[in-house]
Amino acid sequence: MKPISAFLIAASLLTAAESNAQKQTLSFSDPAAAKRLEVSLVNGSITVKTHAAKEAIIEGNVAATQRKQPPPGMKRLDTGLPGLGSEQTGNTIKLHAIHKANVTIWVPAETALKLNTINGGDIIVEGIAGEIDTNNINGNITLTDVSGPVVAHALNGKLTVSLSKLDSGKAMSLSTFNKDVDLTLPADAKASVKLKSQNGEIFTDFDVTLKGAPVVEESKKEPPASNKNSSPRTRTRTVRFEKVSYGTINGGGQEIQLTTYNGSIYIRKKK
Amino acid sequence: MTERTDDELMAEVSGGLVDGLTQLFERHHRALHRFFSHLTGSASTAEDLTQEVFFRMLKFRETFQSGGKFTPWMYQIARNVHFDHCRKRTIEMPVAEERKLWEPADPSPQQDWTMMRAADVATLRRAFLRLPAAQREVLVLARYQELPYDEIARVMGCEPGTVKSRVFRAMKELSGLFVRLSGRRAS
Amino acid sequence: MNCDAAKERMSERWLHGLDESRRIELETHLAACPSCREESTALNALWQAMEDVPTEEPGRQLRAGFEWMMQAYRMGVAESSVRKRIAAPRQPLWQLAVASLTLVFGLVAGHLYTARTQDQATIAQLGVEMKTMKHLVTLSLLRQESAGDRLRGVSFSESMSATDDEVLSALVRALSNDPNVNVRLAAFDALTRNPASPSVRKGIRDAITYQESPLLQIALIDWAVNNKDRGAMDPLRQLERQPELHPAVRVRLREAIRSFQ
Repeated sequence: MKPISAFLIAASLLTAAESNAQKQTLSFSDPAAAKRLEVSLVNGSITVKTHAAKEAIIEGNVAATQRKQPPPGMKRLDTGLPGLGSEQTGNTIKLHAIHKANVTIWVPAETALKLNTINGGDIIVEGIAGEIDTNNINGNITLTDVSGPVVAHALNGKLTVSLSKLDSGKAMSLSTFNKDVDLTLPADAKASVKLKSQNGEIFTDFDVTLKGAPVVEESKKEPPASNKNSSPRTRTRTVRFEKVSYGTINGGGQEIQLTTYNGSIYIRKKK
Repeated sequence: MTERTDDELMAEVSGGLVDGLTQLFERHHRALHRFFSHLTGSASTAEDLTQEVFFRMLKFRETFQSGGKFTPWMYQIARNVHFDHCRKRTIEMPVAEERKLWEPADPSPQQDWTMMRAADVATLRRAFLRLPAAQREVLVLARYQELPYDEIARVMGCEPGTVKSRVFRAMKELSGLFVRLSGRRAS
Repeated sequence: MNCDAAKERMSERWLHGLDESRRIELETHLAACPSCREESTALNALWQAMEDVPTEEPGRQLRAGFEWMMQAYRMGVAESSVRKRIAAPRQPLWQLAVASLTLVFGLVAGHLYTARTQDQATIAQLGVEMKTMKHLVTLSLLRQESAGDRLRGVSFSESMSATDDEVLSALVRALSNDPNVNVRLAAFDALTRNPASPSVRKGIRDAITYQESPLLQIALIDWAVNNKDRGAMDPLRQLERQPELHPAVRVRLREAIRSFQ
């Protein structure tokens, strides 16, 4: 499959030159088939939302590379000037930018996403039902009300995922290095979880049946110095895990792996 | 194209046109899942075992005799899969997850047991899982899969008359276990 | 009617129901025999009650697993027919073409025989490949485009009772080449569940030098320390020379190198 079209959004949106925001509509070649959106940025944030229409609307805020107006009677030749590039191959739309760019994209809910950014921005996704594969080096990843399988990695940012449904048949994996992994599941979600937190802890309001043997420590927390004598010492039960532990929620099902090095893991019940 | 019967489809699969298996899956995976759910008491185990049945159908598809009946053949494979599963289980030990599933909610004695309540259903499941595997199989086939006696006979490799007495004996055994577990008199 | 016959008749009623005359025969016996009557009432109630035992619908994993199996199988068939073509170059090309056309349409009765003989050769060749479903599915999943599928492939491999060399080398490949950090991480976990063979050890040592993700780097460093793998010393030193190493990784790496000395 060869690219059906390749063009620069910046070039096609001269009318919007005054504000920095640029809007463009791209259609998938077969709206009934599986759709896919891939965004790859070096510097900037990515926001994906859903809409009822069949195409993708892209709003890009590209740091203005000052572009000249073509002289009267002349047109600009598109030679891949820096800006936001887009490429469509069949039902896959790809966006990429090297310069700083923040993009917001509206797509049909069942679109599969692959989103990557490195610096200076967060990845935010709302309401998507397709598969999500995302990676952010220095920012946060926040996926809200998504229902497809998720594979996500936030190296230095926080990873927050809230699932409205859990029955995709594919495995999920969420990982961070420095910050927390925070997962919210429907109360009746059936999951088999594999948890790994090197330096952090694991918290949940689900009934997690552990298969491995966790070491339960009873730590005695000292109350703040001011009222040390007035209140009894509070006890908190901390479940410390041997490196990797396996557990089931609601009898087990969908496989989910949660991994972090310095952060903590939260598995929340959707209220 | 006209709807092909199970037997025709499986004969094709056996001959190498494996796509027919997809249609057989559509038609039978729910019934097989129900079969294993009742036998093992675990929906996720049932998924694994159902999958294993389709794998064996593919792997041993030549053993399906052209002109043979599909459903009994399928349940014969299912019984073998269950047998292998039980053998493995005795080595591995029962899982806590299952025990939790069948935990009875406080059985209240002195109740007419023709009136089943939620707690009784849980007890019944527990009793059912204590039956020997062969009795569980014959009961699931008769009660939940609703196979006719002659097909059950073909699956179990015995006479239809024998099936009737086996079903009766299994029911008798089940009622005994149920009474013992719920601590009440059956009358 | 004696009691034994009555019992069979009860059993028959549960499943098929009884026609008028058979029902009356049974009723007559029950009217005369209190013990059978009691038994019949109790067991009928129990049979009814069994209706209330609920079952859950199968999840989507079941269908997904089936589809993977079929895909893997077709891939296996495709691979072995390629091998067959190499093995038997003398076979006229048109014959293969006819055979594959027949496989596709399958309705032309006259050609069915060709398809069948072709296919039986395939099964024989597949003998090794169709060891278990998990083996078949694992290998196919690890090649999928979706990261979620590849992850599932890794976990399939973990549920195999004996991981064979073919699967292990697919996992080593995933650890070194997979574009997704989470998949590499899962592959590494899967590889270290069992004592590593020399080739797996080599694969892991190699990974130390070129993994860029701190999460994996630390996992690999810890592996070297926990396994007292002296052969990992060189790769660890090489890693230490990388200028852009994450500070947390550097701390861990220094500790590790010290522990070897």
